[in-house]
Amino acid sequence: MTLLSPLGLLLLLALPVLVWLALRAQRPRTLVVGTLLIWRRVAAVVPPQREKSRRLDLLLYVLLAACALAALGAARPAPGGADGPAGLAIFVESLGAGEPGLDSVLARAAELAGNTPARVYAAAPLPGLETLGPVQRIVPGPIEAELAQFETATPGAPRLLFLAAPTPQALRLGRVLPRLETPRAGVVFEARAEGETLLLRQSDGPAPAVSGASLSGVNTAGGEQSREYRITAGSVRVTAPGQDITLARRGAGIGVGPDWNTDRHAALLAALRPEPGATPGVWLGSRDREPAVRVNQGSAADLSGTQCRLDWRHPLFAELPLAGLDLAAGGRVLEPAPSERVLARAWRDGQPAGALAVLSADGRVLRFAGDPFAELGLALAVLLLDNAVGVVTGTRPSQRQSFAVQGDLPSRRQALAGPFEPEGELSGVTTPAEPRSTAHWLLALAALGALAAAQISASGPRQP
Amino acid sequence: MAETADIFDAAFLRQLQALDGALLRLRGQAGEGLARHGRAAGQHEFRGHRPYAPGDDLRRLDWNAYGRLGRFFLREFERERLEHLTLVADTSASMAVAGKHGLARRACAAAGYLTLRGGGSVTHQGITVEGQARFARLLDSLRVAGPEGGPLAGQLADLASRPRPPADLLVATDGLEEPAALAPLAALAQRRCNVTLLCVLAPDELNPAAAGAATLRALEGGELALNLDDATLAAYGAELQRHLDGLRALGERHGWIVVITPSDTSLRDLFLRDLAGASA
Repeated sequence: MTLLSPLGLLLLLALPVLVWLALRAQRPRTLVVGTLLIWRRVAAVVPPQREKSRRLDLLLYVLLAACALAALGAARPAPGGADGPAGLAIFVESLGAGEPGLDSVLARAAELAGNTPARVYAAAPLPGLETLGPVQRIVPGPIEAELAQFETATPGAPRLLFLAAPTPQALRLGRVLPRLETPRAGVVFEARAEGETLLLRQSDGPAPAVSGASLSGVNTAGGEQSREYRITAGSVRVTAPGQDITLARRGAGIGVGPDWNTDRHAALLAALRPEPGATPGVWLGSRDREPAVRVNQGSAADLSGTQCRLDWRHPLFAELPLAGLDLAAGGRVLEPAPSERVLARAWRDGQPAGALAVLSADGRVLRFAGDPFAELGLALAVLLLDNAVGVVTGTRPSQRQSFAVQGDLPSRRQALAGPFEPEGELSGVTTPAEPRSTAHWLLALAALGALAAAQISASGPRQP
Repeated sequence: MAETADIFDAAFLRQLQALDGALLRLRGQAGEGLARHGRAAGQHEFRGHRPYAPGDDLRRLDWNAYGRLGRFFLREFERERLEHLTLVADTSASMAVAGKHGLARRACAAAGYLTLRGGGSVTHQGITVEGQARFARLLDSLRVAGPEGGPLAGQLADLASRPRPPADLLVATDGLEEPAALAPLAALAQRRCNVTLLCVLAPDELNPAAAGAATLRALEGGELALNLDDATLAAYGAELQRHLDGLRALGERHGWIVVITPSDTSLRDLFLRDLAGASA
């Protein structure tokens, strides 16, 4: 908001003019008449008076208020801090760990700013920025979102932007300079384990030092490299300039209850690759712990001549060959509680003969009437168990990443940051819309005031 | 407020001709009327001769006199002599607002024109004009009579002091005088003078507008501070009405024709509506 806008100044100047005109209008007028013969007789009846006209005063006040409101509206006020900073606005993009090249940014920004007061905007706490001026944090996010915040916060101000790479949006805002003056090579921006395979992506440059995995392939394209490693240890360490990345094996802790007691059960458990010693996140065959997959929960029943009907849309049966999935083979049926959801049921002659698998209302306990993991084929049983654990924990063991990256990785944009020719105009900034501006309300009030003044004037005394 | 354009221009003269025709038609409907009220009409005693002037009625040329003397003379009769109109256009300073003086002079000119068309004579400010051809002299006399002269009372007192009073007297004024100023008119009326008092008032004088606190500066001199609000204007209206009613009562008492008209009235309305109506 500034009252130095031309229209605002004009309207402000109108205020004293209105007062002057009102005072002038309230001075006694001089009227030329032919003779005072009748007027003198009137004066004998009505003594001379010089009372002020209240109607004229009201008109003046309304006009002054309308003018002042219009001047404020022309100043485009935006309460709540949407005002632009005084002087230069500087945006510094974060490059992640280490924040390389920050000293160069400070030096170049100080040189460009000179004696102009500056305000700095950054999404990360960058050391030393406060030497340029007050630092205002913006919400971290994609560069487009950060630039949008910067634009909204600095309406009309000349802007300097230190970016990893120029963008059309940034070029529209102001002068764009490289965040880095020298290219940064070999920065890892993605580390991902798929089974026993480690995938690394990095900017062009020397290969990182990797321990706990052996290199199996390299692919280079578009200024970046993809490297594939075979994991050979329980943890992998990746070391690159300014980066120290550790990938630790992340196994699932699985507990076993009294009903999970056969060799078949042990083989199925091993297929899930539980992490030894880890706190169980799910219990198999347990009768009282949660979350759990429980077996042999039903009572014996004659299920001859029955058909097994499945709630085949449920994740328990996802990606399973349903044709071979007969949960009634154990000859047991369940009496489900009213809150439990029946996922499989035995039917005979169109009538339900009993529940075969039910899920608790909170989804943490899956109960089977028999023990399908012992009765089904091994491959089908592994898949069913994988689904069952996924139902009660939210993640199937087969989909869980086997290694977790410890620490933050830079984004691809940050990793590929490099020098470029400065672009954009420092003074050629556009004035963005002010979403929180109250100008339109003030102008509307001013218009109402003008209408009221017109009404007062129309109903006032007729001026000769 | 002095008139800058010629108030007796060609358009005015055309108005006079139209007015004459309209008056003739009006007389045909209502009989003799305007200037001869209160007096027996139809007196045609021979009075004498006067030299011919261009524009005079050729039917009244005395051919015997021409045969004897070789010059044209017009025969004059008593009636024409009696149709002698004296004009008094108020030249006081108060007439210089809103065309009051202009209408007063045009009304005098029109009355003089009609009198001259009827064979009568007209006197204005001591200048007597006879014959229609000398109408221009009357206009010249009226044209120079600006509103810079003295008060009306002086002009009327001068007329009343003459040994022979005018037969017909038209006084065009605004009537905004103390009643004492019109005392000479009462004296003239007692001496068988037919007085027509034409009061021309500016629209703003008849209906002034509200202006708040104001200083009234009179052309006749003097200032007065007043708050021209609704109450003051109402008091003004009452005082003006009382004054005009006093004029009408005075005229009725002395047998005057009193006409009060705004200065934006047309000549046609003034003669055919106001004056004719008041004379009837």
